[in-house]
Amino acid sequence: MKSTTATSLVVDLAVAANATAGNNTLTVHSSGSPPQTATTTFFVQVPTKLSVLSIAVLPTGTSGDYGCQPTIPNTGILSDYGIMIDIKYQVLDQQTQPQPQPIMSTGMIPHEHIVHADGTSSDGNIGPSRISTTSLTTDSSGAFHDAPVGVCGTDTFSVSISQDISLIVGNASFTIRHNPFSISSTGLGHGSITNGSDVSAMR
Amino acid sequence: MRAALWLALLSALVPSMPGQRKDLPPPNNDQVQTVRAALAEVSKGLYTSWTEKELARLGDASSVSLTKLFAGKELTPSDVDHALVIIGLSFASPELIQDSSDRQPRTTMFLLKSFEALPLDTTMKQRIAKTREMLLPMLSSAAKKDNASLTRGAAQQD
Repeated sequence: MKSTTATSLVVDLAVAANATAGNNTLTVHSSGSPPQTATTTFFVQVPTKLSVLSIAVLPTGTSGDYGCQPTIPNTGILSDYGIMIDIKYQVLDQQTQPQPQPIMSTGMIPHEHIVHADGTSSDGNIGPSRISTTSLTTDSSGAFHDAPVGVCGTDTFSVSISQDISLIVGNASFTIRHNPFSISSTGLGHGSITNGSDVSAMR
Repeated sequence: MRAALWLALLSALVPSMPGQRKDLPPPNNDQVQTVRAALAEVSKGLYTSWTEKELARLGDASSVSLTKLFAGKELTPSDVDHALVIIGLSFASPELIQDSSDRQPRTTMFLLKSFEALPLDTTMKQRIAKTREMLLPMLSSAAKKDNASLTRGAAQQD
């Protein structure tokens, strides 16, 4: 309870992680004389969609926010085939009219399920990684970075790897994106990555 | 002879090494799977951002998994080559290693010692030495003493 006066009562209410999505009704009942009841509605947002805010190709290097390394450490073997990128996503809610709205919350943990090229799979939190833009949770605007994303190699290659992204909120998990990545390199210093829709980059 | 000695020592100290391996189920926990997948990628001359990220969170646990995967196998120069890449990726960002005890490359140093005992060419031996140099500052002073004793013990055996 935040404050009370003779005519008002101010409280902070926290919405449970498993609250019903969409419009909910809040009822306030006064047992005075005469008893009174008032209702209002509030909208519970749930993570439903990710929009791509930006894509940056990470430069070749060995320090800072680099992508592929020029050589495998302690060898002279060139390893700058391929591409690694930094994708910034915005978490959106379930609204369709007029359009999905951002969920401005820091409390969401982006998580990924990966099916590797050989068919094996793995799970883990998307951040943090060695890339400075990444973090465990979304920022205050409900955005987050996934980086690095890509493949580097010592020769030309072409691989397919799928990524399912979910958002963990409290004890609930919302799987909201499937990225069927195709990643390839046709030469040293070159690479391309696409999910066939809104993620595409090359160098 | 040195290789045999080191592998025997490794067998005595690390659970699930050759003597016991037949009685144990195949290693199937996530860390072993991660390292197995990483070895498969590296053997094809690739590494993915996802494997890189997973290894970076494992630190010394990668070497525990490598030890399990290599148990009972006659290691080739390629195996050592791939393992060194895995180790490099596992300690690339020590602050990301999830279990603080895995920030100390104790098992890794032990594994590198066993590699040094193998009949490898000079280039590979130099890579092993450079990897050791890179990791040494991450050891606590107590572990550095242990490592130094281990080195002296090995020298006396030779």
